[in-house]
Amino acid sequence: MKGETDIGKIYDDYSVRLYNIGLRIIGDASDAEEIMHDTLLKYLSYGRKDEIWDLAGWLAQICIRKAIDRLREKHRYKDFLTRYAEMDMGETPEYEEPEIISVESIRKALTGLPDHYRVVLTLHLLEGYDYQEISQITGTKESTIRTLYMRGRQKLAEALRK
Amino acid sequence: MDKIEKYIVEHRQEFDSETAPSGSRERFMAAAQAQKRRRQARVLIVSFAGLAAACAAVLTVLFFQPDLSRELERQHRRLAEKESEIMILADKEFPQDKEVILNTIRAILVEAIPLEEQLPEEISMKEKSEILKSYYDRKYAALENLMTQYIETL
Repeated sequence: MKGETDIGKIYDDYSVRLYNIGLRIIGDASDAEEIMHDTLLKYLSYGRKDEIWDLAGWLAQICIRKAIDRLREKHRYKDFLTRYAEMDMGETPEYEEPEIISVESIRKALTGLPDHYRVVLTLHLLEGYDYQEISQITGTKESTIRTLYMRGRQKLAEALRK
Repeated sequence: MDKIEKYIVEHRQEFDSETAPSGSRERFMAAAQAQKRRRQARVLIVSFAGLAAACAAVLTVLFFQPDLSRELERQHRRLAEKESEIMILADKEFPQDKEVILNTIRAILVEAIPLEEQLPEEISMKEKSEILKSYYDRKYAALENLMTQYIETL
């Protein structure tokens, strides 16, 4: 059946990327799968598909928003990023860079970071958003995002040195 | 950009290597089919709702039309009764003025084209009913006024 083939193709083409985006933000495989499914289902029911000129980008954006929303629900606090930033607003210390780095070690270190650092690092380094865009996506002040990024980068380096 | 940042940016695509839990594709296909069925059911419900609304509109018109006819019938009967009362009075008390009275009644009641036939189609039945009631009430009041004036001369 053509409809089913189309649905299957959409899944095959985009599920891995979306699952990884969700996993990096939410940090839980089951939640990441649900977010990936919801994103693809949203696309299937979207009435103006012909207006989407960059489907991969459109899906990634929807997926990121869904993952951020899920994280907010998890924290039961709308401004969870601001809350964490305020808890940790001291000077950003200098840090030593690790000698050896790899995709696997970074992935592991990112997974172990608290949500607020992981979200900002993921959006900036892996999804390519700048501070202003992250501020818009998360509904958090740009200065807070910058602070979280600096601190998160330091925490990531620390985790990689271990 | 430090060493870690540079490394991550350069190896972005390699970070997308985790695979979804087993059975994810089947679960997604089932969810997509369920969503499709729900959408089809919604379309059906909306279609039925539209059909039901259309039926209700037709029934309203069908049932309301006789209401308008009944209202007209009631007004005509009311006027005929008052006309008859006046003519009995004229026969009995004012036989010399009977012709004048009859002409006055005709002037009040007779219409080349009845108002109900002049009302535009676009206005609602309710509005039509209100206009006709007010119009025939004025005619009835005129007949009553005529009768009162003659009675007062007695």
